[in-house]
Amino acid sequence: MKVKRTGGVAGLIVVGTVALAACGSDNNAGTTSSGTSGGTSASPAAQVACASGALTGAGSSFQAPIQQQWVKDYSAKCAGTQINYQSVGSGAGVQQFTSGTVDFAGSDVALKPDEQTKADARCAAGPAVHIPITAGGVALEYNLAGVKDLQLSPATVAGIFAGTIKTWDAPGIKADNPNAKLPATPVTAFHRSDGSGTTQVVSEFLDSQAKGAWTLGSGKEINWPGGQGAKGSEGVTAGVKQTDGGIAYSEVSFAKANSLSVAKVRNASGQYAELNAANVSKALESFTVTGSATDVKGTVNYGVSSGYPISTVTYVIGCGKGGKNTPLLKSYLTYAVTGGQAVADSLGFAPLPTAIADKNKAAITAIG
Amino acid sequence: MTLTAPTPTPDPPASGGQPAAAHSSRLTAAHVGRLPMLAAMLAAVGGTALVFVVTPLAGTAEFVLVSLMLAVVAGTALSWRVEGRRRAVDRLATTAATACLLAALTPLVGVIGYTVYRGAARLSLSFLTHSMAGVGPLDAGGGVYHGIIGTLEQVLIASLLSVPLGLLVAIYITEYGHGRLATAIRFFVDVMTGIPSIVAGLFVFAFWVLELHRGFSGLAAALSLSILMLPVVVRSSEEMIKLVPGSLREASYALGVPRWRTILSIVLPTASTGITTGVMLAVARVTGETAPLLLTAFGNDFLHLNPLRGGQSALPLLVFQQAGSAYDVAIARAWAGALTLITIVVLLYVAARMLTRRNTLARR
Amino acid sequence: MTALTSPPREPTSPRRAAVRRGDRVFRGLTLAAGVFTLIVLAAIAIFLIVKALPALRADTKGFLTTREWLPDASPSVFGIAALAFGTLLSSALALVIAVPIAIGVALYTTDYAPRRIATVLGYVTDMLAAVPSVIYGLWGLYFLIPHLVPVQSFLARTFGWIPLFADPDNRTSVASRSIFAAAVVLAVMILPIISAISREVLAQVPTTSREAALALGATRWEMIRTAVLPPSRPGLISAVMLGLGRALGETIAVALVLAASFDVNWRVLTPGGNSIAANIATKFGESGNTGREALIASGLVLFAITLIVNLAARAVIYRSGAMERSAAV
Repeated sequence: MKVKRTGGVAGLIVVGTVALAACGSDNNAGTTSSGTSGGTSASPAAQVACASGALTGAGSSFQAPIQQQWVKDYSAKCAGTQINYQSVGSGAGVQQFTSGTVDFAGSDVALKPDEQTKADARCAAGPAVHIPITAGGVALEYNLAGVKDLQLSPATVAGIFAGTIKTWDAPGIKADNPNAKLPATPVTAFHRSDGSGTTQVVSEFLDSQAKGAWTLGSGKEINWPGGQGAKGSEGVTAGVKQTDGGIAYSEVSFAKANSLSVAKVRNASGQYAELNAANVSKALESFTVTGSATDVKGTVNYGVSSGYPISTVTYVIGCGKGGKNTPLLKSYLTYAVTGGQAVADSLGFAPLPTAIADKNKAAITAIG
Repeated sequence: MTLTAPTPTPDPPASGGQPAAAHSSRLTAAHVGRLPMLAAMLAAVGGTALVFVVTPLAGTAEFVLVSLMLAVVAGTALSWRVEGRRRAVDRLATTAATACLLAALTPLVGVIGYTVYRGAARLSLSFLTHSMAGVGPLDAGGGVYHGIIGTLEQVLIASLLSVPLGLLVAIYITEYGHGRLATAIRFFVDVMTGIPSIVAGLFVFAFWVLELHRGFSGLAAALSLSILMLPVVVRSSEEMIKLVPGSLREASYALGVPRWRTILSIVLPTASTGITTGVMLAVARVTGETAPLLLTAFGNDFLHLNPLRGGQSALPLLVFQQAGSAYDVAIARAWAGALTLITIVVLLYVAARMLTRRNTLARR
Repeated sequence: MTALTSPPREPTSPRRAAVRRGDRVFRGLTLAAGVFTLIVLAAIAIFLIVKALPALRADTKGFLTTREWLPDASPSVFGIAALAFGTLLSSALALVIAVPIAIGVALYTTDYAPRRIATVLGYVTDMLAAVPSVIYGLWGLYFLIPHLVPVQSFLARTFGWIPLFADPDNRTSVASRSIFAAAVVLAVMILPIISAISREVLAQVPTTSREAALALGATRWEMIRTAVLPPSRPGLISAVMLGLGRALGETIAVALVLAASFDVNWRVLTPGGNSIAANIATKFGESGNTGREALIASGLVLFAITLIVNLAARAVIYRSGAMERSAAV
């Protein structure tokens, strides 16, 4: 009979599942030892006031790697905690935070006024607050045979991504690289086809620093006139890797992992700055807080005279008052903005400048 | 080459009148021997070379393609002359069917081969028995254990929900429904096949997770997956049930067996191989779904056994997330996870096939 | 075919009442299942409409004709034109590639291959249907895209005089993230599905029909054409429709392969193109409220497209004179 048969299959699966459940484990103490590149235990000095329980966060994929590292390091220090951060995108993270399904959101941009209203309503007893949790620069990664030290001005970057600069030996690129031997390879610019905080940062940078050359506005999505879209940083990076003459913007970790060169970008004082942690931290010294003592949201200044100009912060958004699992959230965030900053460099992020870190500490203490 | 290969053995009656077919192709093989066909092939290659000299065509792949096409044309023309139009068309059809098989298997085997190539190195017992708990982004360790458990639970629940329901709907459409309602159900089940997976996820997210305050869970994931499974189960079961010969039913009725018993013990078992294929296609479709899981299962780096409450991981979700990472260690995990996923689906498939085979009433 | 044989008249017996009750209960059960399915679908449709309306009201340009997607901008601008076009074109192209091959494979397994090989082939195609879509996507991104460049470039050079394959700016020489590439991935994905169901359908044609045709002196191809294909046609169309359903709704694989532009581009070899489902998957994560609702509105359109396509298929089945098979069509 049919029923028997289905029962048989079901029984088989149940038995299999139980058998599997008996042999698997959550304990990765033995298997992770091969993680070589540093940072994992780089914060011995940090004293962590542990809390216990479980915490759920969702949002930005930009900050996902460092969240993953913090979860590992934090739970190594504070046994018995389960922190689950899922990279679903800033917008989805904010929505899930607003609807109360997660305890905190990771977002590359501050809440818009209407989002802030909804998020405040979710936190019954108090407003939702922003904590800039780490900093990072956006890399311009490229693949061009024979060219290793590309330098780009904001206007040239705008021309490349807007499709007005079509070959690598165009006058604009030549002017930025007087000493380089540039081939006539066509420029293939890859942009993100998905909505992305990285797109927003790059377009805001171009909008403010390449006036005249950039007319496409700014946002997580741009109405691209040309170039090629690809999904996610992995998509654009694969595109660049597969195409001689390809260029894309992405997190620096993708460029490093795929051995792609990263261009230097000209800042407001005319220097071509390299993308590294020090230059990003330096650029973010001009970050201006527009929130309050308890809500550290602010605006990034792209017209920096020193440091790497396409730098930004990424936020964690949580309840200032009235949230769930508050002690663990406070403890985890405190670890992240203090001891946790030490792992930033190894993952392609940059430690927060002291000014922001101090404001963060005060804001986190006020949560409760 | 397949052009001249006669069917080797007389077949059992099940595969449809092939003794006669074999006979006919032996006859034709006598008319056109191997040599002229070989000559046609050689002529085609030579012709292609000539074409490549005088036209801007270039490249090995193109050469092979053009040669093959010319060979088919030449072979057909030869057969037409020697054996007449009907035999020539028959030969062409045989070649076309074989070509289809090759054309289908090449990319499909390519996909699996590529997955094995990229995933086999990382696959190990430790990979299958460890979760991602406490694994940093640069760590090579960890595994997909929690995802395997999650996927098995979610797909099992989704199947338990959608297979009986789908079968009942298919039975209603084929056996009972005559009027407008049956037509409507049939039509809208077809429409249901076009629901994008993420919309099913959105629906469950809005309705189950938010409206009913049930939160993320394996069950929520199973609900969205069952929305995707249902139309495939209904549609394929319907086709298979309809193909059960009326004579079988009539024989059963004649013995005084009531209709519902006839359906359950004659019609369904007869159609069971086809229904299993349909169910497996449905299972296969949803096992690899990622988009709805993001909104319903949510994901979890820790092992989470309870499917009723709390975020749970799933294999496709893991594959998707690991593949989106910058680091080689994660990409390796993604491919190994993909390989695991294929293996699990294939194992489920083989199990289902063996069970239906043993119980099939009518392998006529 | 007589799929719907009327039930026998029960002989008068003491068991008659019980039999009737059993039939009534079972019929009621199947009816309830059917109605429940309709309710679920209605719930999804209502949900889509309710969620889509606010965004449609916020849209400042014509939703059906606009070729942009900036719903979260102010003013909000988005339209379905390019997405719907890309969805239809890529799915249609995928069907053109996959259907002949899939039915050819099905015929090969039922009518050409020796039985043992046929069984193995059946297993293999079924298992290939089991490869999850995320894997096809990754394969497309890392393997197919680079390897498709020479093929597309060849097609553009050789068939460039056909407007569909035109490539005036010579973009195919470096890039291959085109509608054609997406169609190839989709074709590879739906091939096993169509072929598996077609095989089951073809295998159900009675042996006697086949033998009768051969006995009359038909060649194997004539036997297939006259005895096998005609009764299978509605089943084959169903198989194709299932494949089409998956092609239309496929998200991740298409999202990973397409270059995602928002234009109506007939040149299938040049980079660009987009699809509704892929757009939902790529934009959802970073969308704000209006953006999310706009995506739901696009999901509603995909729903409508499936509805129309299914209506069209139904008309084809009518036309092909397959009515005798079932009164329920």
